[in-house]
Amino acid sequence: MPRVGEKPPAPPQGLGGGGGGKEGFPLPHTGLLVLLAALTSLFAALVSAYVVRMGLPDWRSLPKPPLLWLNTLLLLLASLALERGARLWEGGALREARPWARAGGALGLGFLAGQLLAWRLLLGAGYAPAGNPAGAFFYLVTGLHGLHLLGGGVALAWALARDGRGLRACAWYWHYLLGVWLLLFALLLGS
Amino acid sequence: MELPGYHDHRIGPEPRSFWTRYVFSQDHKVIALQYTVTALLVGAIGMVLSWAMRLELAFPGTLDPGRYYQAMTLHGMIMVIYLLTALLLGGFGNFLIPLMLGARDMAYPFVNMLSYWVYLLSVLVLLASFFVPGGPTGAGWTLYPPQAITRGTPGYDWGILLMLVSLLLFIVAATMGGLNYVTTVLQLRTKGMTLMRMPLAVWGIFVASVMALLAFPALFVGCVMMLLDRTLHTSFFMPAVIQFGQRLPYEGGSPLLWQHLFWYFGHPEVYIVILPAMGLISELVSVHARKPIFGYRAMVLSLVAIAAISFVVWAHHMYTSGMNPYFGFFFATTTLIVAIPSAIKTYNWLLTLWRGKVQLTVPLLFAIAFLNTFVVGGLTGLFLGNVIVDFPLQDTYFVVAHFHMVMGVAAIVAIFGGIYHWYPKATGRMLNETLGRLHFWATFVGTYLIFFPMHFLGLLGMPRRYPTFEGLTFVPPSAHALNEFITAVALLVGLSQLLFGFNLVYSYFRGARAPDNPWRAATLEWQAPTPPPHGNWGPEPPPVVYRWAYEYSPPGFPEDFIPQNAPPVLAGGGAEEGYA
Repeated sequence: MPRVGEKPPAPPQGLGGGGGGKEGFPLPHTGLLVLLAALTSLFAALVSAYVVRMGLPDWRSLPKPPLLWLNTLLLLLASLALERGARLWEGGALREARPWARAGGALGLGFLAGQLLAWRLLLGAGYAPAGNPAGAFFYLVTGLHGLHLLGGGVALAWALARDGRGLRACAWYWHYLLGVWLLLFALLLGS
Repeated sequence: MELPGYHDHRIGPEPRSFWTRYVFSQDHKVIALQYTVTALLVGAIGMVLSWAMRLELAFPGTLDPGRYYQAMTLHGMIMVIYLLTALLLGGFGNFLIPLMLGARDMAYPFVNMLSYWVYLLSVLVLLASFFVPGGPTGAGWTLYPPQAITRGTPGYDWGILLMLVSLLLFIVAATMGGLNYVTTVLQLRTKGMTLMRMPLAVWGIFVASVMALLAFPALFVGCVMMLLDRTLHTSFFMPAVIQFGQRLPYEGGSPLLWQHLFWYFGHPEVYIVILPAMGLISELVSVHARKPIFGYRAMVLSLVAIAAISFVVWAHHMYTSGMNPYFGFFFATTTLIVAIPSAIKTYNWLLTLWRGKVQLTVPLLFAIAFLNTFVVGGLTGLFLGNVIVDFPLQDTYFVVAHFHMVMGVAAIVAIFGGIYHWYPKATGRMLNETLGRLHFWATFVGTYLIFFPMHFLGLLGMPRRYPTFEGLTFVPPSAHALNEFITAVALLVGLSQLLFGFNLVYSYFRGARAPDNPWRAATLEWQAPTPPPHGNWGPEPPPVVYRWAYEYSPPGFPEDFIPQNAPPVLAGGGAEEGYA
């Protein structure tokens, strides 16, 4: 520990906050990473419950609507479009970034609509949330994932309303949710 | 006016209107007070519920069993979540983090404000369950299915729904708060405030916030699933049940799955409460014993170690639920390992007090009470961590005694100590010393008289969760007498909290004016004006930190402490000159 009275230490250089702003890691990005850590914990709890339940002997798997593949493609394209938008914005080209970001948002909405359609198809085929645990888990994981994407959509609209500030964080959030969806989809297919 | 700082972080201008200043405030100090007052008020309700339970235990027939279970459930929930978690993280976290780190406010003031209002909403939803048909849920604070959502449990119709919704809201609020605390600690420390110069109070709150961010989601998932089981009749937790000859619409759910999700949150939750308390105690012990904290680095590492281990001990709450013996062995081992960092911390506090210039102020009295109850409660944790010892004791008052000592009394006395210590900074007034001492002795001696005898009741085999013991032949009359005694003391201890409440209100208006640094403490918050203005440090740039937080009684200096932000003397200046 530094002692007073000995040879004085050099005055502290830089910031105690590890950069914290002017030259360091931007504040919104730290917040995003912390949020993603919490969300990872959420989806990990969900996935482990899912996997445990799958392992029980009375598991009856669901039919998988092929529509889910199309939805996956939409979400992938949404992520790519947002990434392009975020890069353009970082390069200072807000005007060019806007249509890409909007396209990303629209593709994300398309994904959500597709998921709702998949729910309808399953409900129409007689797979209610009650009854089959596989059905219950399907609605739960897709529902929670969809709600988080919807929140990302609100954040995206907010970022666009503020001249694209936070677009980079939005893009990361969508990539993250894409990754989560790919994992959930793989579990779904494997069940 | 733009306040200067070292970060790109900008806070809004000082609010002018009453509403933005005191109600919808984004100032971390106001939010801290809002959290604290709300949590203390809801805690008072939790205390009255414990009175109701105690009255039934001493005088059977006071409460019908359904009411008893409702009181028990809400008492547990309120105390653990809506009082302790909210007050330690939302109250102390909000007040101390920016001030102790030399920041102007939290990283996201708007999210911070939202966090309080969602918390308040969760409290209101919880309290609403007292007024709905059927009343609050009586499922026990662990809400174990299937009984939590089976007809016949009190509060089946509305209570359990409100409970689950309230928990979901609380988790959203805690996540928004935690996001702020963690980001602020990582990014907004002032010049020179390295991580290893942070006060231990900030370390405790920081580590607990990280834990909260990782542990609460498990409860969130569990609550969503139970809500779906209750409303849409999914079968996440509900097995096939035949009730009153009728088959319920459930099939194939696993009640054990809830227990895993609940305790994966529930055990870290114990430390989410106790780590900030440990942090506060470290400050109080060092300041009031006028000695540098002993083993700062070990204190930080043990906080982190406790947090890490606490994520792999959850199943020690489930020994009696049935598990593979090897699992029991694993969880017993990890549980007992927690004793090592806990003991390191305890020895370090004692060594800090050892031969210090101990000032027996009210905050230090409460800190000593914490050390005492934490050790006593922690030792019985070693009993209960062993599978074979836990089996006969699990369902008895021994467990009640254990967790009330170690996370009930210990955490609440740490909170009291913290309030007596930081009240002058927050309000600009000193709390009344005499009332404080009265409150201390009533609380400390009283809670000992309540919970210490419960160990013996537990060893007699007195089952917990029973509203009455009439007709249990193995319970001797002396145990009944002891029960009546405990109830009498509980009523008195509860009443003595009025001293505290009165002191808080009276001193706010009539207390002696507090100087900026009444305890002559070295941490940054005491170097700020009292009470700290919007932006904390006025038009000056925030303080620059030159040393750790515990420079007390340095040899050869006229003052017996050196603030963190006092510049060091230049080479050639004699030590006798003190700091510049």
